[in-house]
Amino acid sequence: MPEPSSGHTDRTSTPTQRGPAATGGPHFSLAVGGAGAANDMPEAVYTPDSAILHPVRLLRDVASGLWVGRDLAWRLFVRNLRARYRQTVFGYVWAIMPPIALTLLWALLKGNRVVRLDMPGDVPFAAYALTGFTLWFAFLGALKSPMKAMSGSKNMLEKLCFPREALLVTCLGEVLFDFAIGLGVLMVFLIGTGVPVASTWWLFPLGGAAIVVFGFGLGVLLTPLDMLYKDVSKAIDAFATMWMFSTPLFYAPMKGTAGWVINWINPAVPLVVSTRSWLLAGQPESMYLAAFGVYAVLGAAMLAVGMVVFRLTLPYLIERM
Amino acid sequence: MDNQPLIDVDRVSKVYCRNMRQSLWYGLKDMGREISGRRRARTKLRAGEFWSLRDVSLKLRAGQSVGLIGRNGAGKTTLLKLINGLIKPDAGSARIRGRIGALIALGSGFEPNLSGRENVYINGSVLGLSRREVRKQFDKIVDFAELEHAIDAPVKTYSSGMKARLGFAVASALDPDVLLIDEVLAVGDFRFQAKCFGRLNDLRESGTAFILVSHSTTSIIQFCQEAIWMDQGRVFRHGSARSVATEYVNWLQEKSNGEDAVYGPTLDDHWNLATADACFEAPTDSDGTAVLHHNQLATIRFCFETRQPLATPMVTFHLHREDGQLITAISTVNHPERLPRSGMVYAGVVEFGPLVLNPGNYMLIANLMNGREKVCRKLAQPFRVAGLDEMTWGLINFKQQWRSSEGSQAQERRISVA
Repeated sequence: MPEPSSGHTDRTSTPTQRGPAATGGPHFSLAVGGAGAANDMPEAVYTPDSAILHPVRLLRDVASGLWVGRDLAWRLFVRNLRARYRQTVFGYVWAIMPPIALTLLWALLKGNRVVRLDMPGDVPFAAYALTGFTLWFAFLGALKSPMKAMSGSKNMLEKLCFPREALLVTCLGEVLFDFAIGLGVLMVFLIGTGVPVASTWWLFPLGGAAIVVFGFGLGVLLTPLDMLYKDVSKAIDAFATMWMFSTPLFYAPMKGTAGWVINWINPAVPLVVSTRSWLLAGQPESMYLAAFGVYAVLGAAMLAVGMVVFRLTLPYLIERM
Repeated sequence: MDNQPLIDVDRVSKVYCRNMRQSLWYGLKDMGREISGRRRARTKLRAGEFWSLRDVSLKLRAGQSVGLIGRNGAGKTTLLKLINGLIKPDAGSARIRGRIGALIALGSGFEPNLSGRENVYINGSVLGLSRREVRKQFDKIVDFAELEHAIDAPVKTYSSGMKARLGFAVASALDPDVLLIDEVLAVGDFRFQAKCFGRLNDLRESGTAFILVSHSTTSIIQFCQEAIWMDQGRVFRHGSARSVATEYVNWLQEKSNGEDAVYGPTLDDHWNLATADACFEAPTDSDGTAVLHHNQLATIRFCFETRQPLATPMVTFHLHREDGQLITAISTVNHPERLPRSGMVYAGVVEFGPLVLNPGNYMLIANLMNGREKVCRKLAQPFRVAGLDEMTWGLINFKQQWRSSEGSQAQERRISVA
């Protein structure tokens, strides 16, 4: 190959005759002076290794995500609430409609003796049913909300980096908000109809919290799976009604072996039965109390594990969005 | 003063799967490995997978600006997402220091039913501005977006231009150490775009480092010092913005002409049908750019060598403006017998001119053809034209003589016809 004439300087760093360089290309870095970086800059290192190999750092990141994202969580919370019923006439009435409507319907069916529904103790049917439905919809809402929140935020998630835990906090806030409204309606009803509350009524908020924590924890844990396979949320929607009817929301709990089995298989049963008993009838049976304790602890564990799994799996989910 | 790189991407690779079903299944398995702690760097591909990034390295220091160019699917946005912390590499590592800002997805988090004011706070929060920072900069943001009169109206009443301006205004209120820009360099009308560029220049002067992904090579040349041409996940060219971007544009033009790109950038191309060397016989700058003078003759010294004899060899030199505009060609096509040849070597000089080109930056592309068939095409040398201090327009400049017209009837007739 003839030598280039003098005065010709090879301009390109890789000669085009041979085709492009086999390796990743020349490592070109201009050592420009310029404004130096302060030493206390935030630093992040991304490697292929699993983040769970550094558990302390992982937990710290989750906590930091929650803390740094608190303002964002609040703003998104306010935004979502205001946006929800903007274009409606009845607004928040729709949030409390299901428990009220269902109670009225079953009261009608029972009153016309279409179905026979005996109540435990002297608890009036409407109070019993309304409490049951209110707790159930709080549970179902808590279960579905993380999956809905993630699906709805795809635009932000796939393009921008922000404290993603804020999304979870926001939807928990919305769940609690809806629950509070439902409870408000319930209180108004109970007071208005003069239904007596049991002496254990002060345990009712604890029960409510356990219901929300369990539902939300399970939802958060299922969310990464749902982001890949929508079957999860579709299954929940498909079986929600069946699940609801298998829980003694508007009928007395089953007795005997059947009652025992359903108590342990369906987490909603001990959670709802115990909580409602505390409000209306007093201490529930020990079987329900035991299962309640187990599921309450399980719910808290699922929530904690779910938050960590959420952070671990997010990069894989974002890749596929 | 610390001059450690803000971004240190070291031989990073990333695997993607095209097939949706397989991708979800692999995702499930990978998530499982992540949770159980078994995930490690990948070297092999599973069925249906491909490398969307392969062995990519990049260092960025404060004040530097790098442009990423390449076809769609080359891996530019993937690299950006990786630097932004959205996805994890499958090999290699990325160390990111400092605050990262993003001019990506402007107006994220906007809720149409809420007012512009409320959305500024929401969007600012999503981008990482604290409540205090947004409050402090609020007036500047609204002023920049020129939306004083509409800031309290719901965003769904905004035109798309207004939304884009507001999104840009909030995003540019950030003062990050590194700014990632994905295609959105400026929005709005021409005047507003100038404001956007002004703001980005301010950031650049205050030491912000930039990574710009753009299909507009003029923006890359204008804005960036370096450019990386990515193809099929690899770094194909990495050099000064001017040379890489111009090379890319020329390659694109060739492709769009429907001709077979002999000058193909994929790594699997093994063409080596000829070697080419060409340069101006003229002084050069320190980076090899030839310096030519307006209205003078120019000389190109060249040497092509082929592996096989050519039946109808033809040498053509294309002169391109730096943004890719072809100005003219110096070619043996009209006088093929004048091409100096000796066996399979075609070497000699060609003198042409006078150079009526306006002062500016240009590229010399050397081509060797065999009839209609392309043999070799190479970016030979950038050059610039100097030596004209007058105001100029367009591509060329002629010598002009202005004087009053008196006398000849022929002249008057010509003028009245005009």
